[in-house]
Amino acid sequence: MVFSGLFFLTIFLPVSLILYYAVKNRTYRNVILTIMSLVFYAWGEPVWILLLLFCSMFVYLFAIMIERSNRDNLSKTLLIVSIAILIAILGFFKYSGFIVDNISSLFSIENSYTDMALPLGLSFYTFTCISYLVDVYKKKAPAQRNYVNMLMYISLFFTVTSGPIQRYPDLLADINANRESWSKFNYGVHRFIIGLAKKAIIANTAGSLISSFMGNDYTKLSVQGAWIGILLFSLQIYFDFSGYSDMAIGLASMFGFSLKENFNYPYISRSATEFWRRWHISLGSFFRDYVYIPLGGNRKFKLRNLFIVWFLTGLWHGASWNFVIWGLYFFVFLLIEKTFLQKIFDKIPKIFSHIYFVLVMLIGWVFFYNTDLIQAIRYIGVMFNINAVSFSDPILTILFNNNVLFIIGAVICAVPLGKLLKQVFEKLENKISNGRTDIVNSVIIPLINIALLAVSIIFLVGDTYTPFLYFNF
Amino acid sequence: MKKNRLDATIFIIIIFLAGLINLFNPNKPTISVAENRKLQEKPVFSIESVFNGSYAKEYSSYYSDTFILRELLMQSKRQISKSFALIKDMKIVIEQPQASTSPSFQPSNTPHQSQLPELSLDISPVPSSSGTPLPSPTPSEEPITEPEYRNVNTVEVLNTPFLLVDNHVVATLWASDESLRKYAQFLNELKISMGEDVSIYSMTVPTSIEYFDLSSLPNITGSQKKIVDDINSYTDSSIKDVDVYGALFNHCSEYIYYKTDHHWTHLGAYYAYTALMESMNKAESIIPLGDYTEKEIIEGYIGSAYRKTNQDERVLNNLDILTAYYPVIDYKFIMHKKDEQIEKRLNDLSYISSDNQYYNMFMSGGNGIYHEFTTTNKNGQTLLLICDSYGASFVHFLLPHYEKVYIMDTRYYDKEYLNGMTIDEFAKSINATDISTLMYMDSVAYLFNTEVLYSLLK
Repeated sequence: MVFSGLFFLTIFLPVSLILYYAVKNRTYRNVILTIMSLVFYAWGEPVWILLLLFCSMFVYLFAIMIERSNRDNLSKTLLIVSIAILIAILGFFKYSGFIVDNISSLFSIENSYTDMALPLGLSFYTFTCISYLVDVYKKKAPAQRNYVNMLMYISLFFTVTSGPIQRYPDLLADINANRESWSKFNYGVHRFIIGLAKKAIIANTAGSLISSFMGNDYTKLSVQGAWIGILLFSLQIYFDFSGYSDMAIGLASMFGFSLKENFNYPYISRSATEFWRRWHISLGSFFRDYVYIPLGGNRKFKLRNLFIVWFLTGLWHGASWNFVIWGLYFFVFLLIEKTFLQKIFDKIPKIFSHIYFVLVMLIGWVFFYNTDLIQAIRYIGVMFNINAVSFSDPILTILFNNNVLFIIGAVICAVPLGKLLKQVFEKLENKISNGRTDIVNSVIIPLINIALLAVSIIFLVGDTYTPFLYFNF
Repeated sequence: MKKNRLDATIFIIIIFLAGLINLFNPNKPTISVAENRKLQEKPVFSIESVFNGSYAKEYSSYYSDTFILRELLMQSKRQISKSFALIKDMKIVIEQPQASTSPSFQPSNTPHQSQLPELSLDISPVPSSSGTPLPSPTPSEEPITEPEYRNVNTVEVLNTPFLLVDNHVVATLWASDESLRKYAQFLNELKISMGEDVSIYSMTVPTSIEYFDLSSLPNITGSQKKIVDDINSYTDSSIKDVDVYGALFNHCSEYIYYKTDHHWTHLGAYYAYTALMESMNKAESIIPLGDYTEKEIIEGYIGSAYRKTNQDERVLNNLDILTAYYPVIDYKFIMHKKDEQIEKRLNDLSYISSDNQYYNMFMSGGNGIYHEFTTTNKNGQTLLLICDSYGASFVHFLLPHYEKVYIMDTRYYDKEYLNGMTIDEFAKSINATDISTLMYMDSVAYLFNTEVLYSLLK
């Protein structure tokens, strides 16, 4: 099930809310939320829900053992063994095909291995499990003794499929507390609608335009098509993923949980370093806290540690070399920025660092978009007019003119202009009424939200239809 | 403590109401007229379908396909999307040259401005393109009138790959060379397997965009003439490459393609038939079109382009007229399907229904594993036609010349049903005297189609 599906929005969510708020007892509420989360997961992954149950039971038991073992060596061994097993599970499902492929091509062996289907959300919930075990080992939080609560933490339907990757200590207070409130619920609805609009209106529209600009065959691609195409992809991936995170944060808030932010306007960054502090924050901080710092961080083998982190960050995104290249591409730019570039940018006008970052980001997405590296390099060649057939063509010009308003609108939504306007109007209202009214928050924003919800639903309904069927001669 | 805000209240009301209405709506639609397709049916519950995930998947798409007011909401989406477009329905207007006296066929690097077709975009800047002058042969050198590409006045962009050229929906097409080689490889290997006694013909049919003169818009689409020439050079000399391109070119100003559909009309199929007969050295036995007196004429046909362009209203500017001729010889038509063999007729009017799949009338849907025609001829001649949907409106003209005609649409080929026979083994089993392919350009241009074709031999 996906958040942006009509079935989720109008069946699953209302049913979950009714069942959840119908009971008052904390334990029952947690049990209901856990059951609904399992239903949500099983809807898309009826078999591998067993793996989810296994993992949660596994970390539940190991965390208790780690906590109880009073000898340092034993608890450390238990931690290493349990993490190794979780990594092995992830590796088996996600990377076995990739590893077999590479080994067989290295030794030119015939390869008949067919890839496994990756169980839904495995990349995310194994990381949640790992962070939980480490945090218990480091005594940042006590091990959870109630298995239902443990299962709820791992399987919460709003985070299980695509994060944000939650830290157990952050959620601990919420698990048994009286967490729900109207203000949280209001905020949850607001965030959910914002996320839904990002996904349904902007990301899906951008996605549907990409192929019109890029085409299927890069030997026919023009310079203009290549730039607009990758710009649209950068918009699609940002609004898709940040929209999903907004919806997750919103849903969590409806059920009383406060999740950490996952995006912070990444495209206003002025360097690759800054980008990774604003993009997929929960993943970046996971690698910082559970890989980079344990390896020695800034203190020893800094270069090696950075390399490992960026290699893994790339590989985490998919079992293919292009993602590894994409990760290492950022590693290179981070190094360049650290050694000298940042010092130069500090002295010259900001506009240069913005331009630099946009170029680095767009070219980076080419490696992300094209799983075939040769295609990616060909694409970059077209962008810089090395092997492009033409600079532009009349059809592209028309397409661009027809969609320029959408593109400008999407770019504006990617920068914090809305947030700024809200603050300006709040201040203005406060000045006029001396803080007695709050029309901005009680009327204007709700009305905008209602309009966004209506448009999002309209867009979602139309998207159920497949526009082009190649085999329909 | 704050109360629930206006938007939260309305959010709750909307999701609850929408859920209730959709669950208890007794009048769930089964087809969508606007989209010209069948909607997802409610899946049947079974342990297996639940465990392989198909139940949940189909139920979700059933739920959204039958969502209340879906067609109205989709219409609203188009309206909203349209109002966000800065310039609506922009056209490229190609101004015709005053006097097309230049016989130049080469794109010249230093063009004479006065002889070029001038090209301008409404509102937007003029694209920097070096247009090729209209190829117009000098009459004094050519005694016979050469065919000419059709003049174009306006080009509008629908969704990729569709364009609206003077109210005809056309699709741009780029062929992959690998795919053309695969197609030729299929023919060459088929020839080797069939031996000297069976003649093999190759018919590739250009799509409608090819006969419009779009030379002033370079790189807009690939050349289908080049596709035909490339295939001819890749096929063995023993394969007879039928000049369908030329036959249709001679008549390209006539109504040989639908304006709202990717198929040819029955008239287009007839001209291709004459080309096949010439290639068979049977030009003298071509049956004149005038002999086909019995026919159906159906107005108001909306073809597949409407669906493929997301119901772009401009497609509806120009509805088609479907003309279907009846064969001039008695025949028996058996459609072989997986579980049954059904006797059918050509030109089945039951397909003229609200779902707008009129083209299916030509061969009753044409979705059998193979279609077997037996005529009253006793000449021992058997033709196997390996084709796509273009074959459905072609068979009518073949029947007078054969005792048996077998039509096999590559998409419905089922080796298991044919007792494990490959296509060449099948051809031998029916004692085919002639084999011909009939493929429109999309079927030869893309590797995923030609790989399917090639797999018929394996």
